[in-house]
Parts: sequence; C-alpha cells; structure tokens
Amino acid sequence: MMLLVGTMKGGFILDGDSSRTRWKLRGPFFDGFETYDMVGDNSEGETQLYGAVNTWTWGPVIYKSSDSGKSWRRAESSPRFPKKKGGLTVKRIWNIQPDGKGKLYAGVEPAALFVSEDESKTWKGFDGLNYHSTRSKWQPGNGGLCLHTILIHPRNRKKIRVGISAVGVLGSDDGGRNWRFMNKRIRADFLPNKFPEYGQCVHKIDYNPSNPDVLYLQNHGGVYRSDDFGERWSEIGKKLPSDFGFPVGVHRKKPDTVYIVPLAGIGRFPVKGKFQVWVSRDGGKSWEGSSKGLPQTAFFGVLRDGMAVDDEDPGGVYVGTTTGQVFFSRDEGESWEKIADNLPRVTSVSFIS
Amino acid sequence: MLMTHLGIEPEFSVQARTLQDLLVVIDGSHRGFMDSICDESGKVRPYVNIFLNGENVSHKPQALSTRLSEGDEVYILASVAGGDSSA
Repeated sequence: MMLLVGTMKGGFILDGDSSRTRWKLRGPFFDGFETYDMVGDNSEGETQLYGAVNTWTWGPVIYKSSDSGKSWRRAESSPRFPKKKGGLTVKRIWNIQPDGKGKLYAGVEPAALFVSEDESKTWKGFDGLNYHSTRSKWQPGNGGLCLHTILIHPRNRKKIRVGISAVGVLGSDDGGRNWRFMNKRIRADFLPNKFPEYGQCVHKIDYNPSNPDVLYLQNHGGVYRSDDFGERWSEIGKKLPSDFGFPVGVHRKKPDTVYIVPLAGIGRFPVKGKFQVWVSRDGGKSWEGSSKGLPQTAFFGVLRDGMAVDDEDPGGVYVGTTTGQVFFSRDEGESWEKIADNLPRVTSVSFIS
Repeated sequence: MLMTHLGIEPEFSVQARTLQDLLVVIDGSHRGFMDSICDESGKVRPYVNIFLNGENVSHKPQALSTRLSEGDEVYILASVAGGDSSA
C-alpha cells in the first residue's frame, strides 16, 4: 500500500507494510516541481499512478507511472483550453480524479474541468462548465479560481459534482453537457447576500462511495451535509470549535464517520494552537476532538487535499501539514502517529492499496 | 532542465524559416515540446527564454515570427528563478 504525498517541491511516496506499521519514504519525484495532487487508479487491474505537476517553466503537466512510482513519464498531453476559444490558459492542475471506469478527470485553475479517456494521451474540456454563462462573474478565492473537487456518482456516472473556489458547487446530471449551481443553504459570509445562487467558497467535498448520495462539505465558514447528492445542504458544524477549515474526509466503510480539521484566524492555525482532528461518528450530529499523538503546540495548516482515508480495517486516516509532517491514525481517528517529517509543504495525500 | 523534462538532445540542427517553424519541427519529433514552450494563447511561457544568436527575443512582440537564416544559433533555456515565497 502506498500513501502518495504531493508537496510544493515534488511528489513523494510512503510505502506501508501490510500492517501499516512501517512506512518508507521515496522521492522527491518531478524534479522538485510543485505537485498539487497525486492519485492512484487500480480499477483496471494494473495500478496506474498520476501526478498533477505545476512546473513554473514548462507549464502544468500530468505525469504517470505504471510501476508503482519507480519511474515516471510525462503524459502525452495535459489539460489545455482550446486555442480557438482564446483567452484562457491553464495555470495549475489542482485535482485529478479517476472514475474507476477508465476515465480520468482533471480540475484546473482558472476553474475548468477536463476528461481523458485514454490515460492522459488526449483531453477534452467540458464547455458547458468551462464557458458557463456566468463565468465572467466568477471570483477567485485566496488560492486562485480553482476547480479543486470532482465527484462522480458511482451508480450513475452521468451525475458529476464539482467544487470551485469561490463559486461553489456545480453539478451536471447529463454527463457534463449542462451545469447548474447547487449551493442551496450554503453560506457566503463574505458577501452582502449570505445565501447567493453562487459565489460560495467551497473548500472540499467528500463522500463514501458506497453511500454516494450523502456528501460532506467543508466551506469557507460552515460544515455541511447533503443527503441528495448536492441538491440541498444542511449545516452540521455549529458545535465545532471553528467551522472554518479546508479538508474533509469520509470513512470508507462507515459512511456516518467524518473527519475535519478546524482552523482559526487569518493565519489558518489549529484552534488555540492545539492540533486536533475532529470526528463525527453519527453523520454530523455530534463531534469530538481527537488529539492523542498530535502536537499541542502547532501553528501549521492543513490544505484542502491534505487529508486521506484508506479502505483498510480498521480504517486509517492521513493528514499532511503545511510544515511537512504526515500524521496517521490506524484506529479510525482515536489516536495518531507521525509517519513522515521534514517534507516540503504538503499539498495532498492520497491512499492506494 | 528542458532536456530532462522532454528527454531532448542538448544540441541538434533544424531547418526552419521562423522560430515558430522551428518549434513546430521539434514538436513533431518531441511530442509536448510546443506546449512546454508556449501556452494556449501562443505566447512564450514567462520563464522560458529563447536566444537567437545571443539576443533574448522570447518576449518581443511577434517573437515567434522572427525569421531565421542558415547558421543561426537558437538557445532555449529556463530563466533563473530563485527565492520562491512558498519554499
């Protein structure tokens, strides 16, 4: 099993033994270039790894490996806007998401969605989203106008949901041809109208693939749950010490178990400088802080893709920090241990068995 | 750096009438070369420098329309860029 770790200076792999007791670090890959996401896809039998690498020289590119990261090669092509439409150029690739059926989706900055059906040999944009009629009014979040979350409904793959900062949730029910906003009841604290049709700063959304209609969302202020794949949202974060944060993770076997990292203030630090992962085991009705094994003097952050859950038993949770640590819980969030340190700023963690 | 990124030879000869032609010819044998040098709008990427006979022409207007003559030397290099605030 591998934990893929994207950082501001390249990608790394933590190889875990079958008991997840020992972890061995490999890397950095990609010549130390900014790596916003790394994912694995073993749905077709052979494990294929992908890296979203944003080189400051040669542009943002997809890398791939078919030998568990021993060697990487630049993909034949990477997501790009069509020249004839003019104006937009891909600045960063934020998120790559295999759909488990041979398609690879990519979310980029400025916000747009692309798909490859041939392992990144060619890419096609979703014009209905990328040139949406409201696009000229979309505003960036502090990290840029980025499409950072891609969710494909596993039982109806024509249903796609994406998260864009600071636009909100958009969804398509016809495979990506037509798109609509899905931000009902999600707050936008920073706008005069607190509940606009769009303009929310959604930070991350996650689900349990066996119960995909239930989504959990960490917003820029507010934690939310949807029971109908994003049609309506309910706030579930009022009992948290802070409802601001970036990542959210859902247990892969217990769909009511949710993990978030509350952060506070402009510095985006752990609340009161004490690092805690907060866990709900009842779908967001109640929350408890988990700090056993986590540093209690901590002034780092955790970015939106800095959390991963595995599909082992008991379920593991992984959190990467902006100061280069990776923490791991092998007991579903009860306690934690550090499995990597002194890495560059961690941008993403992702588990592949 | 470009050699590592694209697996390209350090030095070779190409027949081309303009810089644009030169990039197209190299792209034909090294897929992704053009995309690495120029963005979708056709502009040379900000941290790429193209030197023609020692002069940096990469960010001049209509840079890629620059005509080439037999014996011209073209260097394509990544610019020096240190001191990243995110480091």
